Amino acid sequence: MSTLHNILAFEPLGDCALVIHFAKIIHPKLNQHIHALAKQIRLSQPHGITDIVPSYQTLAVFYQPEQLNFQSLITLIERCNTHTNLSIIESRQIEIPVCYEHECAPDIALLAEHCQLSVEQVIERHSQVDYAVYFLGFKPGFAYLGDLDAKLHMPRKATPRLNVPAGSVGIGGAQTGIYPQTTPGGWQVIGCTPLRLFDPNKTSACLLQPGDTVRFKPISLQEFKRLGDWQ
Amino acid sequence: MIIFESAGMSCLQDLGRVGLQHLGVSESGAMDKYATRVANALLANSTNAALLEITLSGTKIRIQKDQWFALTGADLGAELNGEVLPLCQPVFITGNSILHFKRCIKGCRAYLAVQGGFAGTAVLGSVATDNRSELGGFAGRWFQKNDVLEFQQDSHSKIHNINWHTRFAHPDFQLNEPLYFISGTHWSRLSEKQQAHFQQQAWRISSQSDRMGIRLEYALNGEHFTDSELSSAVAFGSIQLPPDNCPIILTADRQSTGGYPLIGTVASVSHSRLAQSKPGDTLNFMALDLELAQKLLAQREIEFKRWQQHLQSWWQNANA
Repeated sequence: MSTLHNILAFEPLGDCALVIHFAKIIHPKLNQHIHALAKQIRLSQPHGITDIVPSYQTLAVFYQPEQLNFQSLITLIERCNTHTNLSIIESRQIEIPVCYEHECAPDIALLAEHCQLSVEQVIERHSQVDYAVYFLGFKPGFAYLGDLDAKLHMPRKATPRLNVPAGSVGIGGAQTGIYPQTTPGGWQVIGCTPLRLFDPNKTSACLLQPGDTVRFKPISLQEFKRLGDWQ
Repeated sequence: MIIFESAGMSCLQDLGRVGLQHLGVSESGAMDKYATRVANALLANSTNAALLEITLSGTKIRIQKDQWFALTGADLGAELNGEVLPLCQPVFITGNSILHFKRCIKGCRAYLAVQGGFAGTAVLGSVATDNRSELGGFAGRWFQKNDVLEFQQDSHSKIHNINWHTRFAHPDFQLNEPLYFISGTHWSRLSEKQQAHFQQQAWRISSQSDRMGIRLEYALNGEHFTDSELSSAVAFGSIQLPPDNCPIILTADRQSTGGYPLIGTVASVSHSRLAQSKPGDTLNFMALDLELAQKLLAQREIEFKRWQQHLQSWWQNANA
């Protein structure tokens, strides 16, 4: 097993959760391993475990100490960690239609200028890559995606917008992501998807799940309007 | 049903959206979950029945129908038709009564449960109000004047008064008790002096505190962490140290992950004490090892469950 998969430390996160630390790097291979471990733990013995929360380089396991004690949980995790294999994660491919036209993309011209590219090149570089869903956080259904083309990095806006519409696709620093709800936000908005990223009334409330692979598909404004009547 | 004559700061809560942090969904739910469980247990409700969380003074409600109620958590000077309403015991309230939370006497969050629970639509398994994401509660928001809230059920109770007190007859938090915490990732990277300072300082709570987090007014002496952290899961009571070195303790409406250095997480047995702290109050911290924290929690849970079962059979017999 490569060192990428080695657990560096177990650490209590209060008395009802623990955090498993891996190497402090952002890498799709490490993140895939974390999702596989999460799956393996879920499959092996969910009794007493209330939530399993991945991030770039940690996996937090929330548990009920009266059902499962810290030491036996560690033993369980260590056993799972030696038995993970990537085939157990489903790794869904999700295509997200995005309208990059001016009406949906107030900052795309600015970003193109900042990155010394044409708008067409920005769209191409943004939409012709597979992004890994590293984890969900910040807001319900918000996915931390990797990895954004290094040519497309641009700092956040100095003053955040008061209202970024739901579905907006943005770039903030080295990250790209989709706003699941209308919210204030400082990312450069370069497009918008008509899909609903978060719908609390659905059984599967979040369109994206940790471990998915995402690709953006450019669509016209017309198509955006046709698909987007939920808003 | 009840009508809010003056809403003050009140919202509908339960034990929250447990198990959805991996989807970025905040746990929410009552700030003082133990007081919530006590209130529901007093009425033999299900543990997760919806109840009111009332913060500080000013809330005034008209109760329109007869029902059993229980009030726990903070002592907010509650008066029922002008008379003091006792805390932590079931009270049968007749229709057309006024319940007024007049002043903060101890703590800052009171919990009003009704037998059978208040009506609410569960969103992602919980009626808890998460106004940041507009989930659950009363139309996703806190209560406003003239809102009307229904009960889940009408009262069919055969009795209308009780002749006992419970040993939980007082709010379950001591204001002079330190907050016990279990050290986290960055604790060992603080200097010995900083660790001592953290545990000796009487920390004052800032007015910038809310259901998302409780902010402390002073800065921890000495250096601050300069390396940037990657986001990772956080829990109720997680103590973060942002670059200004003024600690923030994350609470019910926290985001599911956080990126500031984490010096520890408040132990479960101190969550009520934390939830009942208001701006201007002071807090002390004391490190506790995990084993002891879990032992204290287990002890409390055993006692609570025994007491809850006892109350359940009492209500069954009373209404038999």
